[in-house]
This record gives sequence, C-alpha cells and structure tokens, in this order.
Amino acid sequence: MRFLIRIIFFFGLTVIYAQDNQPKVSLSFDNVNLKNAFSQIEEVTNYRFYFVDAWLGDKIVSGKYENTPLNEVLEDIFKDTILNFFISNKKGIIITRNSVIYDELPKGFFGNEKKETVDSGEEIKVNPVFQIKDGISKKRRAQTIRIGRENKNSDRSSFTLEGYAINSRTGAPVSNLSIIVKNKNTGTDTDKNGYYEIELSPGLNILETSAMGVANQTKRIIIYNDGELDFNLEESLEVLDEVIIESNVNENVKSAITGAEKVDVEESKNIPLVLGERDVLKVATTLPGVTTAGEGAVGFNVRGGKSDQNLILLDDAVVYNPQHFFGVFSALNPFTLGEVNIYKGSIPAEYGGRLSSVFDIKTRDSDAKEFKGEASIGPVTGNVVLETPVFKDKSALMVGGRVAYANWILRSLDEENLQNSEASFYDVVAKYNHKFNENNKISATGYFSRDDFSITSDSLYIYKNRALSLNWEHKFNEKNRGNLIVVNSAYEFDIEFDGDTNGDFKLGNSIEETELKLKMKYLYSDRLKFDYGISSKLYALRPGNKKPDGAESIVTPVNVPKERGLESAAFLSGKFDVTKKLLLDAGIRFSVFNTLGESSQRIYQEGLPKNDGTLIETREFDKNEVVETYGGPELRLSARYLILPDFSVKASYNNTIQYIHRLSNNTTASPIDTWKLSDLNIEPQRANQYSIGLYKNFNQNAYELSLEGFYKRLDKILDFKTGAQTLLNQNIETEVLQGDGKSYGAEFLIRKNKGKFNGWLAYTYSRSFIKLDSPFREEQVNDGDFFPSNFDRPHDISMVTNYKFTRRFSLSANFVYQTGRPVTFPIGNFNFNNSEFVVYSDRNKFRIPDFYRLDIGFNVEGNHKKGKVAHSFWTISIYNVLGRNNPFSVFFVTDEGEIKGLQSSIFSVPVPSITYSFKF
Amino acid sequence: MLFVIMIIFSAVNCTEEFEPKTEIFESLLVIEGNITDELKRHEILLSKTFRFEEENSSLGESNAEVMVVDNKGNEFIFEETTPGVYRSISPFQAVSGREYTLSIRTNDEKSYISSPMILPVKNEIDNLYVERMTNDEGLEGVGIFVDNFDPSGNASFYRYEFEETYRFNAPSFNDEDIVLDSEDPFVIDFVPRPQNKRTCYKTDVSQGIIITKTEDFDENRVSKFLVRFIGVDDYRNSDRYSILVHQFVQSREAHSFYENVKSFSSSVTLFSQTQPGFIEGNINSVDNSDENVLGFFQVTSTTTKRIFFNYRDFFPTEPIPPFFVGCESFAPIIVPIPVALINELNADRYLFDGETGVNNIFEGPYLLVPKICGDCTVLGTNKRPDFWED
Repeated sequence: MRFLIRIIFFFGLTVIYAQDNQPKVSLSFDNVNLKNAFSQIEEVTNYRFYFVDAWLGDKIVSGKYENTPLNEVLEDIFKDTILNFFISNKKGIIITRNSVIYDELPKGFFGNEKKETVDSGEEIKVNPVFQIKDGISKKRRAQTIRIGRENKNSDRSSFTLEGYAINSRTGAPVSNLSIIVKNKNTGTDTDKNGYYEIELSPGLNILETSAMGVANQTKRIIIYNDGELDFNLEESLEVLDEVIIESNVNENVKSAITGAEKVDVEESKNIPLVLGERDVLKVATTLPGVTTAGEGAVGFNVRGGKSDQNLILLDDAVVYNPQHFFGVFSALNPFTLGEVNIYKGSIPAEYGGRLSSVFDIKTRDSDAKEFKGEASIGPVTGNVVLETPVFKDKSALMVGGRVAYANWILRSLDEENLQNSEASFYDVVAKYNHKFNENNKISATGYFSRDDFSITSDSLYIYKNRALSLNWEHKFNEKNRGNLIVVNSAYEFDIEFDGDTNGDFKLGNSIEETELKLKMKYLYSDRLKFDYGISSKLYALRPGNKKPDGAESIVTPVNVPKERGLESAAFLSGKFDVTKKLLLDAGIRFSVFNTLGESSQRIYQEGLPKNDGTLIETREFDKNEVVETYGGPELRLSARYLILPDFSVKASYNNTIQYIHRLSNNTTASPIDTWKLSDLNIEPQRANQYSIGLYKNFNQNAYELSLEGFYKRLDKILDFKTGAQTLLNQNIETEVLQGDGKSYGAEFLIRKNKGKFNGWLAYTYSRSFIKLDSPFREEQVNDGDFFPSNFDRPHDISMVTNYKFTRRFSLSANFVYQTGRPVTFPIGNFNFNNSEFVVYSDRNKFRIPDFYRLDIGFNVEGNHKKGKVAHSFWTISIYNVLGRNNPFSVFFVTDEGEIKGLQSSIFSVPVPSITYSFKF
Repeated sequence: MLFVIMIIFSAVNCTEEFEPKTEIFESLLVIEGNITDELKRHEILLSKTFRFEEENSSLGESNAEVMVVDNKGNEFIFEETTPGVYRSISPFQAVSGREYTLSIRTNDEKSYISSPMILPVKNEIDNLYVERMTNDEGLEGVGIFVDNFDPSGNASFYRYEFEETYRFNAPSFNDEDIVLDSEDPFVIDFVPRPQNKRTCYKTDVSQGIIITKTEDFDENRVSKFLVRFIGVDDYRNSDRYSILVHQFVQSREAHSFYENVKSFSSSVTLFSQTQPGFIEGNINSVDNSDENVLGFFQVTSTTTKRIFFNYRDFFPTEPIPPFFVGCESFAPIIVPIPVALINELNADRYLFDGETGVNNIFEGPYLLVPKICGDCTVLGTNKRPDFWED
C-alpha cells in the first residue's frame, strides 16, 4: 500500500528551456581535452555531464573565463565541433551529436492529432525539425514536390494522394503518423502498414507529419492530379528529462487489505543503524505494530503476538532466525533484497501457519547485462554482492556474501577477557534467474547463514539457517498464470561446552521443512481476479539432544525423540471491484495438519492436569502413522470503500491457525529455543483478528496518513507453568499451559514521501494480555486472570527522518520510545527448610524501565564523475546518541546463598561507526 | 578504527549488577507446615518474607491462632512456643482416610486456610547406604544414597530431611592448659586439660530441599538417590559419622511446590532458565483472594533410617580432612613485656598448643591456637548420644 518503491523511468521531454538561471563560472583550460574540461566544470559547479566518450574526439580546448555564464563557456568550447549541449533544470549537461535538444514536446505529442485537426479551427504551429544534418541547429527548408500531371480539363475539386511512410533507416513502416494539411483543417493517419490516403485540394498544400520517435517533416506539395508520395522518415532522438511514473500511487488508500507495510530496501540505507549495518528488518520495527522484545532480542512481536507467530519468508522459504548475533544484525544481505512486504492485518490466503504476520522478503532479480557489483566495509562486517549475466539477456546470477571479522579483532586486542570471546557470523545468498521465453521463467535462491559466538570462555554457541527455493513461473495465457514453488529450510542450534571438568557436552536441536506449493492467478476480468492454489509442507524436528563431548566426559546423553508433521492447505481468494468505490478482497484457506509417527505419545486422563499422576499410558505410533489431525478453515476478508479518491476506509477480518510452536520460557526469544509440533497433547494456536482503518493522502500523495485499529483474540496460546524448564524436556506437555490471549490497539502513521525532508512518525497504543486459567491451581497463573504478556508495550513511538541538503549529503535521525516490557521480579526472601529462598511477584507484575534511543546518521553519496571506478556511499552514524542504558533483560541469580539482580543491556553507550559502500 | 571497535565490544552485551528496588518489596506471610503420621507435637512455622538487603532477618509471625482440623470434626490447637513456631498443645498423628485443613488467624485479623490434604500411602526406605564417589564438580567424597520401591504402583514423591551426627576430634588437643595466675608479676601455670574435650559429637540438620520422585510409570522405583554428599575436604567425615534420614511421602502438589521453590534458588545459566513467577502453594487468604500467601501445608507419611560409617572405611590411606577452620598456632612475645599473651589469655579465645623452645622479641615461648581447635566442646558436645553405636 505504501508506494515506497517507485518505478522510475525516462520517458519524455518536459523541461523548460533551462538556461535561465545560469551559474557563472570562473576557470581556465590549458590545452585540455573535452573530457578534462568537463571534469573541471563539474568541479566548480554542481552540474554533471552526460555524454558518449567516442563523440568527443581529440578536440583540445584552451581558454580563460571569469564569471562567465555556463552556457557561454560551453558554446565556446564546442565552437568548432559537431556537438551540441543542453542544460537541463536538473543540473545535467547533456552532450549530443548533431541534434539539438528541444525542451518541449512536439505539439500534440499526447493528443489525438486527427481529431484535433478536424475539429479545431486554430492554426497549427510549425513544429521544429528535429534532425539536423550539418550539425548546426537550423530549420530545414521544406522540399517542394509536384504531384501528377496537370490536366487542364479537370474540374475535380480534390485529388487523392496516397503512399507509405517508412523509417528511412530500418525500412519499417511508420504507423500512426499523422499527416496534416497546414491551414486546411484536414489530415489523416497512416495505418499499421504505414499506408495513407488523403484528399487534397488542387494546388499548393503544405503537409506536415509527426509521430513518436520520428522526425517531423514538412513538404510543400503542388498537386495536379491523383498521385503517390512516400515519406522517408528519419528517427528523431529526443531528450529526456525524467518523467517519474509512480506505480502504486495511492496504493495505501486503494488496496483492500489492512495492516500491510512495505519497506523500501533502497531507502533503508539512509537510516542510521547500529554499526552501520543496513537492516530492513530493523526498519520494519519502526513501523507501527511491529516491535522487538528489546534491543538485541531475537524475533518480532507483531500486534501483541508472540515472536514465533511470524512467518518470515525469503523467496518463499522460511527463515527461522533471520538475525545474527542475538538480533543485533539482520541475517539478510540488504544488497540482495528486492522488496519486503509485511502483512500484520489481512494476511493473503496463500500464506498460513503463523498467527500474527507474514514478512514476505524477496531477493531482487538480477538484470545484469554486464558484470557488476556492490560492496561495503563497516567496522564489524564486510559485504560483497556480485552480479553477472550467464546467458545474455536471458539469465543472470547474483551472489552475495557477508562476513563479520570481529573475531580476529577481538583476538588481537590486549584485553584478556575479550581474547577468549568469539563472535563471528557470515551469510551467503545466491540467486539465479532464467527467462526461457515470454511464458516461462525460473528462479532459484540459496541462502545460508551461520553464527558462532561465546559468552563464557567454555561454551561455544553455533546456529545455522538454510533456505533453498526454486520457483517456476509459467504464463498459460493472458488470463492465467501460475507458479510452482519448491522450498526447503532448516535451522540448527548447537552448544559446545568445553570446560575444565569432565562435564563437556554437545547440545543441539534442529528443524527442517520442505514445501511444495502451486499458486495460480486467474484474471477473470478487470474487476475480478482470483488467486488459488495448494501447498503441502513436511516438518522434521530434532527437539534436542545432549551428548558427552570427549572420552572423559561423564555427561549422561539425553535425546528427545524426533517429531514429524505434514501441514497442507488449499486456498482461494478473489479481488472484486464491486463498484468504483467498493473493493472486496476475500479469501479462504483450508489447512490441515497431521502429526506423523514415528512417535510415542503420552496419554493423560482427560480433564485433569497433565502430569505423572494423571498419566494413563504411553502409546507408540509407527513411522508415517497419523498421530493426530487438526485443521480448519481460515477466512481472510477485507473490504475498502473510497470516500474520496485519496481517502478510504477499510475493514477486515482474519483468522489463522498455527501448528508449530516455539518453546521459549525466556521472556525473549533466544536462538536456543526449540520448536514443537502440535501433537496429542499440544493443540494448535488460533487467532481471530478484526481491524478497521482510515487512510488519507494529501498533497498529491506527498503525505500519507493512516489510522488503524485492531482487536485480536487468540486461543490455545502456549505459555509455561511457573518453574517450567523447557530445555531437553521430554514431557514438555506437563510444563506447558495453553491459554487465551487478547490484544488490541490503535496504530497511527504519518509519512512524508517527497521532498528534501522525508520520513515517518508512527505511534502505536496497544495492549497484549494472556489468561492461563484452569480449575486446578497448578495450571493457573496469576489466579487465572488476564495479565500483560511478555511483550505488552502500551506506547510505542518511532520517528524516522531524513533531510537531504543536496543530492550528495543527507542527515538522518531516528528516535524510538517504548514502554518497558513486563517482567517478573523477585520481591523478597523467605526461610524455608532452614534455607533462604527467593519469592517472585505475580507473573509480569512489574516493568523494566522505558526504552528510548536516538540515532543520528550522516550520509555522503560520492559524485558521479565519469571515469570514477565506483559509485560510493559513506555513512557515518552514531547509535544511541543519548547513551541511554536500556536494560534488555533483568534476571536474578542466587550466588552462594545471596540473591543478585543482574541487568544486561546491549548498547549502553553511544556507538559510532563508519561504513563505506560502493557500486561498480 | 581500533578505538571504535573497542568501544563497541565493551558496550555490547554488558551485564551489570544492580540493586533491586526495595519499593517492589511485598511482605508476605510464609507458612511451613508438615503434619506426619508420627504421634508427636507437630509444628507449624509462620514467618514473613524479608528484603534482599536484610541479612536473614526472618522474623517469626507471632500471636496467631493456628489450628488443624480434620473432616471428622477433630481440632488440633497449636500454641506459640518461640516467635513464629507453633506447636500442637497435645500430640497427635495423621490418620489415613481423613482430610486435614490448616487454618490461621494472624495478629492483624487476617484469616488463611489451606486446601484439605490427605495422608499419602506409607512407604519404607528400602536401603540406605554409603559409597565413595565423585560429584558433578569433580570432587571426591562419599555419597549417602536411598533405594526405594513402591509396590502400590502409584507414582510417588519423596522429600528427605536428615540429621547428621558426627564424632570428631579437636585437631589441636593438648593435654595441658595454660593458666594465668597473676598479671603483675607475670605468673603462669600449667594445668591438665580434661580429656573429655578431645572427642565430641555434633548434630546438624539438613538445609534446603531434597526431593525426588519415582523414575517413570513402569517402574515405581527410586534407585540410588543421592541424599547427602560429603566431600573429602569436609571435616564432618573425619572420624565416625551417622546420618538419620527421614523420608516423607508427599503429594504431587507438594512436590511441584518444593521443586519450584528449589529451582528459583539454583544459579541461573543461559541454558537453564526457569519461568519465574509467584509460586502458588495450597494456602489462600480467606478475605482477599488477591493476597499472595507463600507456603504449603502438607500431610505426609514418614519413615526413618540410620546408618553409621567411618572415614577410614572409605579412605584408608588418605589424609584426614582439614578442620572446619584454620588452626594456625602463634606464639605471643613475652619479652620485654608479656602484655600480648596476657590479653589473649584474658580474652579466652585461644588455648595452649605446646612450647616453641625460644623466647625472644620476635617469638614467645608458648604456642596458642584458636579455642575451637583445641576444645571440641566449642563446636559440639562430649555427651555421647543415646543412639550412638561405636
């Protein structure tokens, strides 16, 4: 809905004669060639030259200019050449050979010439001749042609002239060429073969032709009888100022879906971020309704949902942990990304399996015609993306790699406790896209990331993501298109503990999924479009195992058995323009989940707490035997009504089902958290969301304003009993509670998209609660009342701004404020059994201090001097300018009988960084 | 550049200690009650939670009315013996098939009541034994283990308490004591030290929470459960040691309560984080359901078993463990003036530990050790307990 991504292309000629505000320059040329002369001019002005090297020849110029208008200098240096120049109002100097650039479109360029000539009695102006032979701008004299043999006996009042118009260079017919008889109010067009026929009155007729892409001609015809005349038309080169075509203008107002956000990947480079890393996911958290549990927390909380309720897709493949180094950096290479769409309200029916949101991240298609690349160097990471064509104009390969080189720096420091630290990561992404023909395209993406870090010297943490995707796009006909998609993703986490004693161990868990999806589009009419398809996904989980590391280790191996499941869905959705004002977007998804063997499932007495005391039996299931089936319809309904062309109201209803759960009893998600499939004892989570919003654009879409409200009810949300330990727990159902959740909120966003000063301000008020109630005390939390969830942050303000001083220099700043997250504090000590213990408050009764942070960045774009190898970009930024020590988590340890409160923060001081990136 | 990086890594992920705010302190009533099937005067303990910064200043909750009622209408009244400790006026025992409820009315007129509890099935300790072992931290020592089998087929939950009694020798026992006859003139005398100050007995009660449950559904067995570990550096096991283990069969609710209390007090690591929260016991406020009460009233069946063993049974050649405190001797100078020795003898903190053979301005002639090292009655009692077997 946001038109952050603009399609810009060069189209026509809409400038005024721009020589009015000429800068005066002072400089001197001393036997330099033209190219150097241009460079000198570029240096003293902020004008830029556009030219073709070969045209310049070996012309040498000399001269001294004092306060001379720029055009005079240029006229002077081009004096004896065949070159012309044009100064655009965008501070560009365009060098042409022979042609003169006119800065207005030929008259009638956009109109219907024929109609005009018939209906209008006005004189039609002579159009300039756009093709000059001798290099000097002058109008060509019209040729005089005599047609037919004069027949004195003729009393005819008109004669017929016919012929063809052809392109003199290619010989191709020129269709739609308008031929106008000057001062006579008649005219005609050529047909698609270039043929025309026109009635002319005897005697002198002046014919003028005009069409797109060819030079206009004027011919003086003296006609005596019927005859033929062919037009040989030359191509005209016309200039080109940019015409910006904005696609999706008003998209935010016009689309039917609520709660959709788009992140502009390119613009994200201007936003100051920690350690100079561009990070689209961080940008996403500045949008309303998307928060993180804290700085450095893995995962997102969308509209009061848990962090496992987001489907994060990279080219349709799930990325389980899209963040490096505990969430400080995004694990997605920003140079390779094309677009990021976030659905937090209406989720398209083709997506499912998560309750709160979909982050649909696409890598861009490489359109490389030649080898090119982009690279950046920051204080912590280096990043390179290379693109190359494989089969010319058909296929291209893009490979990106990013690596953190903090490791060797850490080692090379004198600080002893840092020498044992380790923090390294890398990610690689490769994409190949191949266009077989107009109707068949495939693209393949491979992604891999790995993190290694140690917090204490004796343990090493490793986590890895993998995502593979293959997408075949086929166009059956104008109305039917389809995609066949195969994806495979995996996530793995390992701890290697290597201490001094014989307690060394390796601990790990992993999840893998493979999905096949068929997605079809059917354009029934302009007003009615359908999307439909089917998908099926197979999960394989290794929830955890611990094994001794080394021969001396006395650690007892623990292995939580594997889990498997199959999630399938069929979906159908349609977009229907009921009237010009009312648009419906309705979808249904029917999803089914089968828990598959081989598995042993514990059966408990119904209606009683699940524990050892209520266990009836343990039932064994064979491989591929269906243990349990869950499913149901998921509705995705939304509607938009346009009150004004730039003002709309939308409403939507969504329900979603989630069959896979992340077990995280930490208040924040951490990479160690394991996943769990729904089974006999753990039911799927479900959500129902209602939202309504108002959307208004102002000043030709320069400002976007939106206000959205939502109310969400969640069912069977996973939480944990007090005292639960989830790691390597083989009977996790005895620790899990499934309760109701509810969240509601209002999201306000104002965004300025154009001008020197742009950015957005988002304010969200939202609440998120959970209720864990049961007839049994042990299954109650906080007496079975609703209590704030771990990520209930009522107030959330984000401001992202960018001010462009010039094309090259810009200053950006962002500010974030959030209410502190709820936390369970110890509230005192007590004596029990002759020992001292800690008593904690009710769950989430307190809050950690509010979070706020200001970042500032200064961006310098390199100039576009010809001959420069690379286009460069510098970012100097300071993260957390105010040096606010924002606690990320608060926890308590009992150390030798004493209780200590510890708080950890990620960046408690201002962090400056400088990043250099360049394109070549 | 390097500077920047150093800032970054000193800034990243810093964990610092902070003082928890005392304004979030809540004073809660803590109730510890265990009624067993032994015929005795049972105890209920009432106290209040206290602030972090307070050093174990757990104050008993005094002047409360405490009563246990069974569903046959029997009332067992408790009286306060010491602050916070309430003992039943008459002895009684829990009987199977009855439900017992604890009710409390505190001095500030608040009433609390427990859920009704029943007596679990009794189960004997099958086997109590000692083995030499190495613990998880790699420390050598002996472990005291329990084996147990419940033929009833129910899942069982056990809690253990123990009283350990050990015989020990004062490590720096000397046959003579030094006595100050006169300060001025300086006169000392040597008298025989009573022999009954050489060997003593000391009894300690268990601390903390020791719980276990039967391993799984199929086998209702506790095997080789470690109740007590004594390191090779622990003087408790230096001569002869005895342990009396109480086994309580408790309800599953009681088990999970104790388990939670225990888990919040173990040290927290990144990979063993526990979901924190208020631990619900089985006692509620009658008047205000939002008031949190900490504690558990339980009815348990109990059995006990005692064993004895000697240090040398397991460590025949190893050196005797070091004493609980350091027993460094020193010789206060008496020339030119004996004021240092006089002060030490008057303070009654040191005992005679032999002669040095020198007497100069650097070293005196008489060695002194802390009293605890030369007199076992400082720490224990020289009265042989009735149950003691040599």
